[in-house]
Amino acid sequence: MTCDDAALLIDDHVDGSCDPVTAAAVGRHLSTCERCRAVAADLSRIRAAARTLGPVAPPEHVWAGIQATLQAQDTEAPSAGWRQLLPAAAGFALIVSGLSWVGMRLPAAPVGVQLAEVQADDQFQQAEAAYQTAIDDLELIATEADAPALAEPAFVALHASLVDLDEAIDEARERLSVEPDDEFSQDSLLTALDNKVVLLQDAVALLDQDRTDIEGLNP
Amino acid sequence: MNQADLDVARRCRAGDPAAFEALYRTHAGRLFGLVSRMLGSAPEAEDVLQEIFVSAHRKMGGFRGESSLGTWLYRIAVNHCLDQLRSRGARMARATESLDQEEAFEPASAEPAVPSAISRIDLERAIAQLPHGCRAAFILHDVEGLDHREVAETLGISEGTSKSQVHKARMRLRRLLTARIRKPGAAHPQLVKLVKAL
Repeated sequence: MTCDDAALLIDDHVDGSCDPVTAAAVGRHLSTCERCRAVAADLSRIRAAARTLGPVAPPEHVWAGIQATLQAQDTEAPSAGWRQLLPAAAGFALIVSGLSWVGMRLPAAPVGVQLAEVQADDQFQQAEAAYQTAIDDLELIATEADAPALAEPAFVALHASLVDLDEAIDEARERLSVEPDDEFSQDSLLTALDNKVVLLQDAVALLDQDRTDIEGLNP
Repeated sequence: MNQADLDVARRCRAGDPAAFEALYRTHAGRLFGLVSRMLGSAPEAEDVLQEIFVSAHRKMGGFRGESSLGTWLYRIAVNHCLDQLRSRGARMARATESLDQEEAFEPASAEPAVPSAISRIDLERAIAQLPHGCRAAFILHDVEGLDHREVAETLGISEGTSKSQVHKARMRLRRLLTARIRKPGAAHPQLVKLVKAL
């Protein structure tokens, strides 16, 4: 076994998760290689020290803040997880159609009416579909041939944010493919979709502004 | 199914403040440790811990006792941390981590370089300096004791990625902890290497 081979197995060795044959092979290498032995010893010390890191008491004002927030919420209308995003999902199609430039191109989707009528179990799928429709429409507009190009800094920032959001969406969908009723993943997915719609709306509004400016220069 | 947990959840749903405070007192320490290490910032962790318990209170109706309340809360906490890290600026961390991936397995010293008794403060400081991707995997695996399959599920990554992130974190910690105990005035090994190369 070479040092490179050992490098691939050193963590499993430290964790004690190698099979007996591999563990013996790594052990033989470590018995003859001082440097790899030193690495293994250091990693073992780090692992052992990490296991001793225990709870950390939060400052007392954190509990006071929680109490205050819950008391404030008691006086407001109750919400229920991702369901609080339903009005946003329903409203996006209307908001999209309200943009001047966008309005010329998009039919208004009566998502809100549909959402109000479906059963709770279907609401998540309906909300996801509403967001996806809004996203598809916005992406279509933003990539149309006659859309003005965004300035590079704005484009770079937009692209990077979209990559992050798409990652979050993909992760949530992957988790939901395993556990479709998982509320945390549903929360994460709808929140990420919500953020993406808002981001795309901002982008389209920017494009709309650029287009208006260009038309103003070339009447 | 834990009947005691179900009872606590039922009392919290019914608006029993003492039950919710007891739940907080039982789990806040572990969760605050997790969150402050994951985020690397105590003030930020205080805000996130508050959000976690407010969120848990709101979601209590969805607790069906399929796992313990502790596990349920833990999952909410991890999701909040990941959302926080994502919104904080994943791009910068990713750029840093892509450089870290080049970090070679370099057994530079023939003697163990990390002290046999690592101080808690030194280790906490060093963990806070890890890039957030490998920090999360390291905390879940080495501090919290999850196996790689559980880490992978929690973070939405593959087991292979979990292993490589934990390895990267350990190697980075080795370097940080070694640098921390260098004698005052001693040159950094990388500096010595650079000078020799000139």
